[in-house]
Amino acid sequence: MIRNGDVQVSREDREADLVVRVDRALFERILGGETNVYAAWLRHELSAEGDVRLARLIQRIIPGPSGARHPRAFAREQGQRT
Amino acid sequence: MKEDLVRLLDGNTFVVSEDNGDIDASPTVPTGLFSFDTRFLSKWLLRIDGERLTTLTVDEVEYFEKRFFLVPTTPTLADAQVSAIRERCIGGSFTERLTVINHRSRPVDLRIQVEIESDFADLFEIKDVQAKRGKYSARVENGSLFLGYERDTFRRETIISTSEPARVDEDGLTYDICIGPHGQWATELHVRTLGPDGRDIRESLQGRTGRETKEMRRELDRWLSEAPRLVCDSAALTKTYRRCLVDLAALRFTPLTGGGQTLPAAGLPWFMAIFGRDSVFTSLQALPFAPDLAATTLRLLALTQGVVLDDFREEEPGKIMHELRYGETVGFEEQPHAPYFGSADATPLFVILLDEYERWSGDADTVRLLERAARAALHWIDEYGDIMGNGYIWYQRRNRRVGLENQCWKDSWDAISYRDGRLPGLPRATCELQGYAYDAKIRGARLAREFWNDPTYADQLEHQAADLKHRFNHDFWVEDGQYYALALDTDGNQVDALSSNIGHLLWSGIVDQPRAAKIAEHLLGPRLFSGWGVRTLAQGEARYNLLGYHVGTV
Repeated sequence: MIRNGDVQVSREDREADLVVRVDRALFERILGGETNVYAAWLRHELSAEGDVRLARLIQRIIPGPSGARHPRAFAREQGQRT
Repeated sequence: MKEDLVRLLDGNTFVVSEDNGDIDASPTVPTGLFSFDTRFLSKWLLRIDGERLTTLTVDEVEYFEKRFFLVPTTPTLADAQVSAIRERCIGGSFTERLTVINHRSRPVDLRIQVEIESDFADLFEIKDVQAKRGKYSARVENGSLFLGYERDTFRRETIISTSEPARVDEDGLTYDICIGPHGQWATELHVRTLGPDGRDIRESLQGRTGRETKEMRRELDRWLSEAPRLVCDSAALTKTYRRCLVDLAALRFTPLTGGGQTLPAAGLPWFMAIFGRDSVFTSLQALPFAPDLAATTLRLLALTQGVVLDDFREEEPGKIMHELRYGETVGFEEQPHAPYFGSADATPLFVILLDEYERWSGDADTVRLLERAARAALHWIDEYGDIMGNGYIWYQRRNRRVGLENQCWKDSWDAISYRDGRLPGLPRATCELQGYAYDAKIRGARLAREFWNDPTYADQLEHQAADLKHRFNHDFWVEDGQYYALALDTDGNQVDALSSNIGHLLWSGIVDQPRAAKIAEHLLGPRLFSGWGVRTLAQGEARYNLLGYHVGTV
């Protein structure tokens, strides 16, 4: 369960809202911000059955790619270079 | 692009052909059958006894249904002995009923051929189909032709079947037939478009299959009946109003994440996708007629709102997306549209739409539901949009390979220039972005006060808005021209060309009242008003070109 950014995990016997199938290697790349759920789903390396909106919510709690810059930091870098 | 192309569409599944119904895709004439940003047919050529066909007329039944009346090319029209009708529709699948008519009083033997090919081009490749990384396949099975494309786990397949028996090979279908005196012959061709799991691509990527033509007609009737009724004694006005509603219906798009609801796409056929800016503007303008479009747009844009920093997709927390696509190049992350966030206006526009939607619909629940998203959007304006840290919204692409240079509505590379034609460096702060930011803060304040129970935040937003308006009217006002500059450059200098962007400022409320009349005078004055509309860039500016996309056209 994700509520206000807090994640809670429990095991329950009920219908799943969404089933995501993904192999461990790809899942680790997603967790590391190297690829994203949507792109992996488009190329069919990941499958999602059910309420796919939830897949986007999973993406929300995963960190982004490493080395990404704040637009202000990027502008400063570019300014120094010229 | 050729103007006489014929288009049929159902959301982002569409066919673009020449006016005789043929598809023969080339980089300059991008025709084909497309679904979810992949071309499933790049060749679909009809020949009778080796001859291509010429169009007598095209009957535009609906946006998803057309009829082509044709004769073979060689004989003069007056003595055509044979004619053909292609009745085409796009819905459950791409279907074409082909009828050939013998006008003579004796029987005729004919060879009918349909040449078929698919290059499975991604929409981003159609102007330049490069060596595809995947493998093609073609096979014939049970009288149907299967064309396939496979790259790792990515798969697309086109299946062509015929109701009348044909000789089927990898290049298409051939019928050797005899038609009696004044008789006719017909066959029905079905083209199915399959996604990676062997299901219809719409089922794979949209959660539902295409609808049959009958269902599409019923749905269109329902759409028309739900819109406000216009009753007047002018037949022309009644007809125009109906046409507008049908055109708006054609523009609708059903995303997988929309739960069956629709939102407006950016444009047909090439921009049948979710674009933050375009979906917001169309929803805003359609509010009096179809307010549900806005509700779906708002929910979808909130769902896909930026969360992290990502240079490739130009994502930032709270930012509203620019464009979402479904094709191979996005899947393999060669293109960033998963989604791509390269627009600086979509985020304030999102807040503006949320407020305006509530004013028209009274739907307070949605305003409360989207509180987090709207606050994140307002935060983006100050934190990530304000690249120079001086209280304006700026843009600068971080994806220098395929990112957009201009991330405002005029997104062509040369759209933002000084009077003398020079292009400013990056980042750039165009004037309408500041108008949207002002409007978003004023409207955000109303939402905070009336729905989010946060008067402190409301006061803060109003204070910021007043300050922005004051600075803007000082920094952007071009004294010697009596208008607002197109943009500011990084040194705080005015990018001083006269442009249509100032029109957006009028509805934003950022214009000091006494200056509004001056802006209206410019918009309808000799340098900007062509007689048909407002030019994007004023006559007399160095880059002015009356045929240039964002530098002179209306």
